[in-house]
Amino acid sequence: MQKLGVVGMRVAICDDDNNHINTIENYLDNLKDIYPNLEWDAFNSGNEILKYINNNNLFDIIFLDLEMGDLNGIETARRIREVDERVIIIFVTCYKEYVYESFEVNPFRFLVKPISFDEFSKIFGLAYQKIVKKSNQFSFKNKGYTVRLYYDDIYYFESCRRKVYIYTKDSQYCFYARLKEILQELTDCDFIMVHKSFLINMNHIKEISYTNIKLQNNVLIPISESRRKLVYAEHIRFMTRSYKI
Amino acid sequence: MIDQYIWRIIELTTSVFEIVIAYMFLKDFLGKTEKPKISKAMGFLLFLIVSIVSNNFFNIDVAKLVGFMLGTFLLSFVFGGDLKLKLFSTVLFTGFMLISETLAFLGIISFVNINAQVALEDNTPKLLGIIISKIISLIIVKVVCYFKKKENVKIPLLTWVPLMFVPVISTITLYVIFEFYQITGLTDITVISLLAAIGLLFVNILIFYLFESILDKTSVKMHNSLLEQQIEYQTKHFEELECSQNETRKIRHDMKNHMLCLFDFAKNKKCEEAVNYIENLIDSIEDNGNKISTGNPALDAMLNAKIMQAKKHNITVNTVIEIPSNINIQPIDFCVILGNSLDNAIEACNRIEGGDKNIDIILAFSNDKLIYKITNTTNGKVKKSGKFFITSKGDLFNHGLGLENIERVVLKNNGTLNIEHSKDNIFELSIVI
Repeated sequence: MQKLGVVGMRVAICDDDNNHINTIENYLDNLKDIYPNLEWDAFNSGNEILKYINNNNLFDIIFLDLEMGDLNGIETARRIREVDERVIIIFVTCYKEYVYESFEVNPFRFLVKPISFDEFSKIFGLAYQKIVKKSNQFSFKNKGYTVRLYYDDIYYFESCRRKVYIYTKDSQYCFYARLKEILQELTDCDFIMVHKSFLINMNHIKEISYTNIKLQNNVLIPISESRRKLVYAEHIRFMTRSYKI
Repeated sequence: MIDQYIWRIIELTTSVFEIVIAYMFLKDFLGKTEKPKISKAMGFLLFLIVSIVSNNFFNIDVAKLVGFMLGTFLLSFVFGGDLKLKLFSTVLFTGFMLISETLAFLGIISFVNINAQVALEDNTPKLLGIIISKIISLIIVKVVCYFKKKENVKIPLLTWVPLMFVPVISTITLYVIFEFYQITGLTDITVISLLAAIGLLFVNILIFYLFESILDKTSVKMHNSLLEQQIEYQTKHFEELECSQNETRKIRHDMKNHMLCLFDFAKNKKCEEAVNYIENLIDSIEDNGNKISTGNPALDAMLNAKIMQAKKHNITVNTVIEIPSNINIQPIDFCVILGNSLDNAIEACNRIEGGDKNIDIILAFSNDKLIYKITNTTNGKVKKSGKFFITSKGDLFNHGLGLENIERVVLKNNGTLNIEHSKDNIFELSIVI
């Protein structure tokens, strides 16, 4: 299986208009010097790209045309998400109005045709930053073995006396450490200390309220009163990070 | 000797009980704020200290009354509401408390048939009086709080004057009645005195009811003016849409003629003429290029109107807008948030002399939440008052309201808000709803 990450950025372009594919391929060509090991593949229909992906070929970024003939962009994206929750999907469209369904597949951004090189490289840069962050790993010792988890898979850390528990989507681990040290290691990494015993990954926040945060696995984490304003500010900064003018 | 100590304890307990009732009243009347638990404890403590001081170091009744009012007023700072509202709740509550005491006092004098002197000095009637008066005050507070439903919006200064006068005058009147009974020592309570006290209770409850009606009327007025503004923007937007639709209609209509013309050019190999002709056609169709169109009519209308206004003032506006159509937020809430924030941004930019006038707007959608971030350049002078920024214009009432309205709407939609003002003269308002 193709390994994701900085070593070899794999990009896919899916559009039934070959002219448009050429435009994007040219842009990517121009960016080859800035981004190491950039590779790309082009597809003319949703079914084509799905067949490729279902054969165990994964991409880091997919530029997906919303208005394709056979299988439209949203449906294609839905099926891609069934096998790959993490790939960055950037919708390419002729229109400025978007339906609610197109947001259900969690797209990274939207690009409106005609796309200028400036816009393209700006959004590509933002996507690249996001990928780099996701593919970093956190390691710790558990029962003699070193365990490595992708930052992106970690939902939250909880400290209890001298132990720290790590929770991922389906499992949990535990090791000896102090939350403060972990926080230092994870500076600038989408993790935030909402409570003196809880360090959470903002990527997995489902809802944020006055007194607590609900994560995507429906776990409720309390926010301490003194950190409230900081948490709101950080969370908003995190949410707007993918949108730069 | 022991008697004295027991009385001290009873007085202390009574004070604590009064503070608890005050707390209940103020909480429902003024509404909670995000103050930390420490300030609640402090408020409690201050009230207690003031009560003890005024009860024990001053022997005149006026001092006790003043102490009680001061204590209530200090406690009101634990809760929300502006200064005038805090004052109003203080005098209203004091009025209610004094009414309860008077009713208890008069009730005892008439039903137990003793004179005022005895009522105030003998242990048994005194204790009975205290208990009855606290029970009455608790009932009054519970009833008033039950009916307190309207949100506390800002009302004009002049309206406060009559509202405050009634509880204040009631308090003075009751105080006079008390003194009267003490001085004359009458036991023969006339029905009139009791009726007077009940009458004052009734009047103060009426004032409370009037207060609620004024709140209602004011918020309806505000709501209406926002709706009117929204209608204005949407009408303008609609007219502009109609205009461009007409353009397109014309072009479709003329399509055949255009085709014939181009056919002629092509047949006669007049390439350059054909190209120019087509260019002109494309230009006239794409006039809509820069208009915001998200599929949310109220939002589009407001944004386009404000952006046009900004451009007229030579402010550069940059936008990144990626949101779905029909977002689950009321159009009027959009109007409040966008309208107020853009107005503030435009005003801030207009105060800049000889610098970059720039507004950046980000509207995004992620995880079922709408993200709104507006950044604008400023001239560096933005004052803060507690939580909010005071406008550098004098009129605090009309202009400082902008941010307050935004916060109200954000809270109503269970969202979060953040404001930052950085050193390089940049103001940033971010909202997640």
